[in-house]
Amino acid sequence: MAAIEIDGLVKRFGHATALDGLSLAVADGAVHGFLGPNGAGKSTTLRVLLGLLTADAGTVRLLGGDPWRDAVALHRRLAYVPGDVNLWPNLSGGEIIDVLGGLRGGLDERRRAELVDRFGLDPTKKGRAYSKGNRQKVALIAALACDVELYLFDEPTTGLDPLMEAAFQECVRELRAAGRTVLLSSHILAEVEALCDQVSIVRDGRVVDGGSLDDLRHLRRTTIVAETTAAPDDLVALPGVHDAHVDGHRVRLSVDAPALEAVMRRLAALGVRTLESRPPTLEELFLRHYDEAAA
Amino acid sequence: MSDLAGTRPLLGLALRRDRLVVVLSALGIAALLVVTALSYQGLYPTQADRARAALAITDNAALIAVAGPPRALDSIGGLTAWKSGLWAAMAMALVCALLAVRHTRGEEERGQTELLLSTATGRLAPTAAGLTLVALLNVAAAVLTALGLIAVGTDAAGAVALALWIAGAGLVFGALGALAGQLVSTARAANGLAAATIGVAFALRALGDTGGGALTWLSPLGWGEELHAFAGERWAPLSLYAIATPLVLLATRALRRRRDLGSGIVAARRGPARAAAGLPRPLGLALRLQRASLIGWTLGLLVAGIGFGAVTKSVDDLARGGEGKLGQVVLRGHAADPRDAFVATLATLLALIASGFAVQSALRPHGDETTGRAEPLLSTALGRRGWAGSHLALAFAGTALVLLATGIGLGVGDVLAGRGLDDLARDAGAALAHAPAVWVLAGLATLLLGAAPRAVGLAWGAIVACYVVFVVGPILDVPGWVLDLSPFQHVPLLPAADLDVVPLLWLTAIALALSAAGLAALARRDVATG
Repeated sequence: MAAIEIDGLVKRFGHATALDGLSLAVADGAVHGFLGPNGAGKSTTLRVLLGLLTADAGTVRLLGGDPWRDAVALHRRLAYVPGDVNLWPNLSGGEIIDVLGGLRGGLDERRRAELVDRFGLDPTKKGRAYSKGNRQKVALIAALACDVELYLFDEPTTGLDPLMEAAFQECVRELRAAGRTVLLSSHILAEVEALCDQVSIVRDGRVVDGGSLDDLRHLRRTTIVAETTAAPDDLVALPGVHDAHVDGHRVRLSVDAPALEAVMRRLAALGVRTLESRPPTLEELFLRHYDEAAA
Repeated sequence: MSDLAGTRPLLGLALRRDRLVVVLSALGIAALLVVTALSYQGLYPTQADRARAALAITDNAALIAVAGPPRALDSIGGLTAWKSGLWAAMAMALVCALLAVRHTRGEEERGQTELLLSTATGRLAPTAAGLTLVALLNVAAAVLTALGLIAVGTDAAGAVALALWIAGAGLVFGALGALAGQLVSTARAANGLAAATIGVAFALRALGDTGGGALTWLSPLGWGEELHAFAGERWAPLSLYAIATPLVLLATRALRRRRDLGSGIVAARRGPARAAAGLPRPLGLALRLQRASLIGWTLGLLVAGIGFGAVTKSVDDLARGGEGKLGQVVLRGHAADPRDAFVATLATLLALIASGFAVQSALRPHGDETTGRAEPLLSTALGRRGWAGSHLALAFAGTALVLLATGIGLGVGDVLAGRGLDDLARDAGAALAHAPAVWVLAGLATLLLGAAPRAVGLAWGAIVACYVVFVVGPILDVPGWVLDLSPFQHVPLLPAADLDVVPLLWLTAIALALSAAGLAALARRDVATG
C-alpha cells in the first residue's frame, strides 16, 4: 500500500499556479526524497498533504484517508517539521516540544530525553531566544520523539551545523530500520542521496522524474577538471563526454556515469598532473534532464 | 551624530509603510472635532441657547471628570473643545504611542532592525525615524484640525490652542511609547505599558479637575486643558510639552545606547524544561499563551476602575440634578442620581477599552498564521475549530473577567470614597452588563478571521467606530439605526437604569452566531503559512 498517493494535483494562488498536475506516490516504509529547487512547489505539496491548503484539482490520499476531511485523525499518525520554524516567543523550547508532541497524541519520554541530549538542545530557553538552528532542533525533536507511521520533513536541516545534520541523518536511518515512512523534501542532492531509496524530482509544480536512486544516477554527469602531461584533445571525442573545453594541457568536461571508467583510463594514459571531480549540482541535474527531454 | 546616520531613508521607508495610517489618523482626529463643532451649530445655533445649556452643567463634577472643566461654553468652539478635545487628545496619544512602539520595539522584535543596522545605519536611526513619523502625524493632525475648525467659523486662536493640545499630547505619548519600547522586550508589553500610562494621565486630570486642580498639572492630557482654548488662551502651558518631550527622548536615547539589540532593561528569563500537565491541550495552550495578556488587562482595568471610582465622591458631593440636555450628551442615560449616570458612562468607556482585549484575544489564531506558527500546530491532531475555538473561548471568558475586575475597581474606588459595600456589587454589575456587547466585537473579529482574513483590521476599526458613537453619537445628525449598529447602544445603563436582559440575550446570540459563522468559514479556507 502507498502511504501517499497524489494524482494530478493542481493548486493556484490567484493567477499563480503553484502545483500544475503534480503526481507522487510514496510507498509504505520507504524513505522518499522530494527534490527540487526553491519555489518548485515542495512546501505547497506538503501543506496540501497536511490539509492546510485545499486542492483545486486532482486526488490526494494520505495514509488511506482524505487529508482535508480527515485532517485531525490523520495527524495523529504523522509528524511534520516545517522548513521555516517559528516558535511562541514566551514558551520555552521544552514546553513547545511537549505541546506539539502532546497535541499529536503523546510522545515517547525516553526518546524525547535521548533526542534533547543528542541534538544538544537547552530546553529551558524561551522561544524568542533560540537561533534559527535551535528553533529547527525544537521542531525536529518534537517530531522525532513521536512514534508515528509517517514523517514529513520540509528542508529539515536548514540552519543546522554539520554535526547536527549528521545526527538528523542518523535519526532518519533509525526510522527506516523501524519500517517508518519518510517524505524528505530538500534541495540538497547530497542529503537526499545519503538517505533516500526513492526520489521524485519536482520542477515548476510537477514531478518531472522519479524512481530509485540508481535510476536517477543514469542522469548524473560528473564534472572533471584536469591538467595532463600530454595534450588531452582526443578526450573530447570519447562517447559519453559532454561540454568539453580544452585549453592547452587543461581540460574541463562533463561525463555520463557509464562512460566514467573509459574517461579515467584515457586520462591516466595521458598522465594526470592535477585532477578535480565533482558531482553535478541539482541545477545541472535538471538541465541534463531537460536536455534529454528535448532530444 | 553617527548614531543617527541613515535616519532620512528610514523615514522614507516608515512613511511608505504607514502613509495610510498617518493620513487616516490625522483626518480622523480633525474630522472628530469638526463634526462636533458642526453638530453643536445645529443643536445650539444662538448664543442664548448655548448659555442656557452651559448653565446646566457648569457645576456637574461627573461631566467635568469625563470631559474636563467647562470653559466658554457659550461659544461653539468652547463647546467643541470641552466635548471632544480631551477625547481627541487621548485618541491621538494612543495612536502615537502605538505607532512609536511599532517602529521601535516592534521592528526589533521581528528582526527588521537587525537587518537595517547591518547597513550603514546608526543605532538610533530606526527610533529617530519612527519618532519623526509620529511628529509628522502630529503636525498634519494639528494643521488639519486648526484649519478645519477655523473653516467652520470658530475663533482662530482657540482653534490653534485646541490643535496644539492634541499635537502636544501626541508628541509626549509618542515619546513615552518609544521609551516603553526600551524598557520591555516585546512590542505587546510596550503597548500595554504605554496604554496604562495614558490611563493614569486621564485619571490624574480627572482627579485634578474635580479636586484642587494640582493633579491636572501632573498629566500631559491635562496640560492642554490649561491652555483654555476659546476662553482667553494661555500659551505658557505649551512649554510643558516642549520640555517634557525632549526629556523623554533623552531618556529613550540613553537607554537605547546602553542596551543590546533585542534586549530590554528587564532581562529575559528562562522557562521550564517540561510543559505542565494541562499545556498540551488546546485550551491549556491558549490559556498559557494568553495568560500574561489576560493578567495585564485585568490588573490595568482594575486600577483604572479604582481611579475612576474614586472620582465619584466629588460627583456625590455636588448638588443633585442640574443635568440639562447637554448633560445627557456627555453622560449616558437619565438618572436621578448623577453619580449613577457617571458610573454607567465610565463602565461603557472602560468596556470599550476592554474590547481591545477581546479582539486581540479572538485574533490570536491570525497571529499564529502570519508568523507561521499555525503550520506546525495544525499538523498535529489539533483541529481548526479547537485551535481558534480555544482562543475564542478565552476571549469570551476573559472579557467577563476583565469587566468584572473593572467593576470591582469602580466599586472599590467608590468604597474608598466612603460609599457603602452594596455600591460595589452595583458597580460590578454595571461593568459586567457590557460583556455581551464586547462579545459581539470578538464575534465580529472571528468572522473576519474565518471569512476575510486580510481584513481582520476592521475589527479594530469597529472598536473605533463604537468609540466615536460613544463620544459624539448623541449629537450627530444621523439616523438612529446607524448609531444602533454599535452594540454598546443596547446595553442597559446600570446602575442608573433597570436591568433589562432581553437586549443582553440578543447581543449574546449575535456574538455566538458571528463566532460560529467565523469558525465554520475558517474550517473551509486555506491556512496562511507565514
